[in-house]
Amino acid sequence: MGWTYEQQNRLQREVDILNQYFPSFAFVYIGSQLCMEGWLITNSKNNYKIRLYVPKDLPYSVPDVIITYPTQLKDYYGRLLVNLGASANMHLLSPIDNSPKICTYRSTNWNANITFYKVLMKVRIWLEAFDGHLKTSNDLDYYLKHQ
Amino acid sequence: MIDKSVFLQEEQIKSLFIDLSKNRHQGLVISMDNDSVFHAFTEVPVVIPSGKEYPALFIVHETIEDFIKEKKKDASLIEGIIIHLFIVDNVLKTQAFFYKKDQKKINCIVKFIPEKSELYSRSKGLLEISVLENKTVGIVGLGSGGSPIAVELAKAGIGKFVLIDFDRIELSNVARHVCGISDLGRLKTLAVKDLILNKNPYAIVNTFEIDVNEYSQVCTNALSNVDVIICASDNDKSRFLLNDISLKFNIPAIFGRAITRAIGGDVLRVRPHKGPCYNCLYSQDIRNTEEEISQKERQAKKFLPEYTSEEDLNSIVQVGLSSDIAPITNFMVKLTLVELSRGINSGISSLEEDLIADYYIWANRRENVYDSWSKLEYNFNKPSILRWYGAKIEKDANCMICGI
Repeated sequence: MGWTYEQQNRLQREVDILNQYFPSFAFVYIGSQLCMEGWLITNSKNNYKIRLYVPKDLPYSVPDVIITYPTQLKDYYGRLLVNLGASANMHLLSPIDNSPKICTYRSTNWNANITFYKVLMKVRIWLEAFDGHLKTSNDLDYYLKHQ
Repeated sequence: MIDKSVFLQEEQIKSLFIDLSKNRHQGLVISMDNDSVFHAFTEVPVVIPSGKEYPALFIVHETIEDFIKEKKKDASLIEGIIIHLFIVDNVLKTQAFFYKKDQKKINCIVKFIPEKSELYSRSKGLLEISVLENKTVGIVGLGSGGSPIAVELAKAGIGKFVLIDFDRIELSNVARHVCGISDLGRLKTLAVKDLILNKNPYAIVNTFEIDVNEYSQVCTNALSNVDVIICASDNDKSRFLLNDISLKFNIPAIFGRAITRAIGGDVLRVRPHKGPCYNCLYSQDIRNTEEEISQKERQAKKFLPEYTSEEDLNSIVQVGLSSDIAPITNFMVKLTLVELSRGINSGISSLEEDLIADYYIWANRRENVYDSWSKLEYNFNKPSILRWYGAKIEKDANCMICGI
């Protein structure tokens, strides 16, 4: 299935915004799945590679977002994040492609005005909270509200 | 003794007089209420009434003498009904007898179910029936919201429907759904279609047994030519799609939902490019962010994070009372009729002036988000339960869907 005219326009807008605020993000195909990949650097100077899967029904679904680097990402206790599965405390959903999937928005709170930029902003905040967790052992719930 | 009645479809009977070379026609009759009410058909009807089926024989006589002669021989039918039809002085005369094994034949009073043009004659003046019968309404979601809307619109005289739902009637639906126990296991589309045809046998009903989120293109094609879209699904994803279709094809859409345990709900009318779209609503603070009700756990699970607690999940699948959903569906019906009758001089024209808001809020109980509302009591000038409130929602100039 190709992208509709409206979706193509939307993708262009998404790219225009990301070029301004998250310029490292670019389109990649993972198999037949269109994704956006790029790097985010936290205040603690940790580097994380993020992959955002462009939903086929763009802009009507929450895009899945995973952390592809560091691979084998571990929590404060040394547990692999992928082994935590869906975790409310850590704001994680079931892993995709063997990488931890970040919970950004509940689908019931999603709307078409939410851009990839906003999603990546939430990912950026999740990463700051995760860095906080690595230092303090506090769950991400300590830092983040569920939305 | 109570009179026995046999109901005949006027149009079917008329057709028997078109070709008089054949004077006997086999049909069927459904007996109800202990053989006291019969519905006879020359051919299998689109919706078969519940009851016991017997054969029916329709005999068309050229003269009254033929009828008298024939009447003496008609006992050849062991069980069933014989309906004699003949014309005297240009007036159709009828006589019907019901035969049951080992019983005397029973004389039945013949009554006619009128033709299409007469069916909704009592709504004339109030609704412009000749206009409505040519209108098509697309309904997505035939649960406790969409199904009563479909039936009400059929009662109002809407002539064409597009029904979309992938689901089947389950026991948990029955308490709120217009379909009943005898429909268990059936596709909601086909069960509701039968209800529509039972109200208006001349309605044209096209059904699509699809999940609109998976088959968006099929849904788009199915709805591209309707006059109004009713969005009675239970998730935003499908509503965004329907909003898209509404805007793309310039079709008014009515969105309605009930929130947790049906403590209340809201209705949005989208008049494409003339007011806010469904997505515009999200940029306003007014929309209640309470979880909306879902018929089933598995459906609710699709739209909630995997780690949602059982308690939260249960509150969403606790769907509330049918009587709490009814005000919302009833309001959606009214908005639909206003949209379909817009600009036409009818008995409901004045509603166009009343229903100028695009967004409406309803509360059933002072609970949760409505907790602070004043008690109904004698307060007619304060927000309280069981009243509709129209809210002025502006089109969002920055809406990512209709603002570009």
